[in-house]
Amino acid sequence: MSATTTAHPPPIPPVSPPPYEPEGTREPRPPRSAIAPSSQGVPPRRGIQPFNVLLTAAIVAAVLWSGAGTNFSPLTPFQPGNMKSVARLVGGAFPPALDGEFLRTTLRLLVETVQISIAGTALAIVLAIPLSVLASRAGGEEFSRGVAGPAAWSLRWTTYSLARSVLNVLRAVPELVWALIFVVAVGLGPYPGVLALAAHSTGILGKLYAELFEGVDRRAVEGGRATGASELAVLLLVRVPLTLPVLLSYTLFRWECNMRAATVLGFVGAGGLGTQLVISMKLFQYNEVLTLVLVLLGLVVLVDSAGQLIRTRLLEGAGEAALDAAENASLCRPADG
Amino acid sequence: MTTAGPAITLTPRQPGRALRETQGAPTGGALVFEAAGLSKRYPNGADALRAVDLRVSRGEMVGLLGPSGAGKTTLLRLAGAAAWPTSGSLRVLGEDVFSLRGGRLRALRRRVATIAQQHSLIPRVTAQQNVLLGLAGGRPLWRSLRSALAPSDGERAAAHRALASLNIGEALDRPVDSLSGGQQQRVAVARALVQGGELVLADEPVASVDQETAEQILAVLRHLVDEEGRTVLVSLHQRALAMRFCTRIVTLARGAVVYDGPADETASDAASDGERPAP
Repeated sequence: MSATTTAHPPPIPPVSPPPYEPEGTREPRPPRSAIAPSSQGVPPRRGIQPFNVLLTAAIVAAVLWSGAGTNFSPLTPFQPGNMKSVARLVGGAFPPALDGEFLRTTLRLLVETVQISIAGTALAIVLAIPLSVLASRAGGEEFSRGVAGPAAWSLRWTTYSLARSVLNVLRAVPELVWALIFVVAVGLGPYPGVLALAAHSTGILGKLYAELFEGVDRRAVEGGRATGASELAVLLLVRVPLTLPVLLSYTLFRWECNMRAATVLGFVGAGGLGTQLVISMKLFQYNEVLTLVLVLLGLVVLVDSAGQLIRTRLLEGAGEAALDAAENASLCRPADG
Repeated sequence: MTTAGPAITLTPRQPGRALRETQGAPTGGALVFEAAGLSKRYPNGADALRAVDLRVSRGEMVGLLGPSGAGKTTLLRLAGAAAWPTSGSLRVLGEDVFSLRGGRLRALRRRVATIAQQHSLIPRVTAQQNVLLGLAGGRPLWRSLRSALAPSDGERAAAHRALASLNIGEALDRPVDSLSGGQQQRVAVARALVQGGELVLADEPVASVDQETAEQILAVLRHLVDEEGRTVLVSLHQRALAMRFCTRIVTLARGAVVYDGPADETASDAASDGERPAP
């Protein structure tokens, strides 16, 4: 490289104005499309999708139809008769009932509610684990139809379908309906409440566990199998450790849901705070109702806060796949949460 | 040739000295791997292997070379009974792999140690627990669970020995996801060392490590061949490493064996380019 080129950059050519061209002497411009193919290659604009129009119309119709069917009107609570009832309810609720005997009853029922939720969740875990194992696909070619053979494959598929069906039924029936059934079956009290929570939660936890076990990284499972370990060993030594944070976290979340559910089981005679809530409502003891509602509120806030804290710690660093699987499984119905 | 690996005395199931030195294709020793017409087509229609014939004798260290997608991983997965072929046959340690099911299949897998890439590990648990998983196939479940929760002194020592032979003894009690990629890769190797096994299948065991560590890992694998009479099939990307540590090179391209011969300098170009047809 010569010294001149580095010391003196090449001169910039002067910019001259375009030469003057009298009107009419310029060559005719080529057709516009040849210069800039304005519409060529651009995908056509998507029109309004008929499906979206239909869907919107259907949603609007459903809302109007449901409002009419339920006599919904925003003004209903403000009608004179109703205003009087609201005033009676609110007036009767204050001050909340704080006499010793009522508080003792409330405390006893509070403890019972917590016990129902813990026992129900524990029973659900015990039932959900074996069901989830049956309801999860092992993955891997050795379990495919071609390799395992039609007989073994059919047996496995039937077991899988049956387990999934059982979980679906358990999950589809709400706790309160299970409570009604178990009250008839085993009588009044907290015990049918425990069974009701366990039945519904088994469906939810079983599906969640199954999804989590299935969602484990195939390569980790193959690594476990490569040692010659059995499928049960792979489950306990690979799948469970890989999913444990999410497993624990959502089991804890399920317990929080069960705590809330346990408070209303008493409506149908299955124990807990709901029992007293129904009695106080029927006797128009709105001050007792307020006390019970405040206690409930405190309990739910306490459990939610503690649960949130523990779950955040548990989920730190949990694998993405495990979290996705947890999201896919329906964990807690909106009504619960 | 660097073969002076650290002393490995972990569960030597096949004690003994080296059976053969650097040699090429099998010469009639006990066959531990015998593929005939092995083909694998995946459900998406991709042909990963096309009629592969390959025989590996005891005491060989076979380096599988070839570009990505050549079929190296598929071949190793078939050898470890993690995948099944579309056609062809495969005998591993004298067993017809694809006729085995259940307990007999697991029994064969116990005799074949597999080193996958670090994805085969359990991230949140310790290196020790990951390494001791290598013992899971050969013992009752309750013992595996016990060693996962509260390992005995002997088990800890075994896991430490395996890790220390790869220079990561200090990682024993660290969660695997707190280790670097190269360290994780070595944990995967340590698991296979603890498992033992007459045949060792290693899929890209040096893919995510530096040159020094790569040499160390391959030296340990070579040690298994020379000092314990085991057989190693290892897929590699670096031709130079394969030349240095393997006794034999098999190059795959588009699912077929395009070179099969001894790992010597004259073969190096052909082995990596796959230009010379397989004998």
